[in-house]
Amino acid sequence: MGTVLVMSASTETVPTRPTAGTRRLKTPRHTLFDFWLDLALLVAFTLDYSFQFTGIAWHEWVGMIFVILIPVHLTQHWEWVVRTTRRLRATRRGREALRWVVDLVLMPVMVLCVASGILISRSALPWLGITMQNDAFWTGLHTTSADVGVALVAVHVALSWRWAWSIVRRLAGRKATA
Amino acid sequence: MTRRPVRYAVRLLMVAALVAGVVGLGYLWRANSSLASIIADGGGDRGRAGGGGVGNVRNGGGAAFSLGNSGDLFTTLGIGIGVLGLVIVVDKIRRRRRPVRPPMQARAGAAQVPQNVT
Repeated sequence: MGTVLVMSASTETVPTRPTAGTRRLKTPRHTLFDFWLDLALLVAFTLDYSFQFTGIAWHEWVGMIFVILIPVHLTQHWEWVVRTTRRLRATRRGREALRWVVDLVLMPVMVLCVASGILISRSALPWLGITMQNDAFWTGLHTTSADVGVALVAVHVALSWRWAWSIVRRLAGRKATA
Repeated sequence: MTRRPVRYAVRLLMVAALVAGVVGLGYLWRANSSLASIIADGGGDRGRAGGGGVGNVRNGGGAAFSLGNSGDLFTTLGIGIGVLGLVIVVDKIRRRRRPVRPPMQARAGAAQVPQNVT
């Protein structure tokens, strides 16, 4: 009885507080995976948006990470999307509805940002022997979607800050007790 | 034991189909000249203007990390932290005005009953 296992399909589950009988909280493996994946996405996006800092080569190679991480991120949260969509049809609750709408807009924005980035690649893909054409539409779409995306990502993260903070506290607590 | 990986693979395929659909819509957008010009013009202007973000993809940016251009990173962090802070403050104020009740109490409508801590 030394651990409390939080079993939930939802990634937004706030871990339970330790009660008198518990010594150490155990974070479910899938929750930890979600946390580190989300953190990797956030760091990658922050770096990628700072184009002058990274330079073209790193900008594009870091951007390639999203090709894998975004579908994995969406798959990890698929159950939440389906469940929330069903629930919102019945009752429209403020916070959850806002998160759902933000995610609904963010998904195509990020997908188009990554796709357009690949289509205007001038470092990563040419290195692989694939030459892309300079296209004003895809360049414009890449720029616009990145600008919209940076604000939406911040809101997306902020709406889950309690969950993230609870994991950070738990990880910090684990380090302290180790 | 084999159910979970299969279920995950099915979801991944659904996500891949969704992503492909969005990219397809992007191509449709490009094909529609009147809508495409909005994006192409907007991006082009910012691209020429320079400044932060990915707006200057075509003009700026060396091949490698440039600590001299760390201001760009700080701008990104500033935008992120600014929006993040704003949402968190609004959330905190909202919670203070309308505290979240435990689900059982909320269902029973017994806000006045103190929480039963065992």
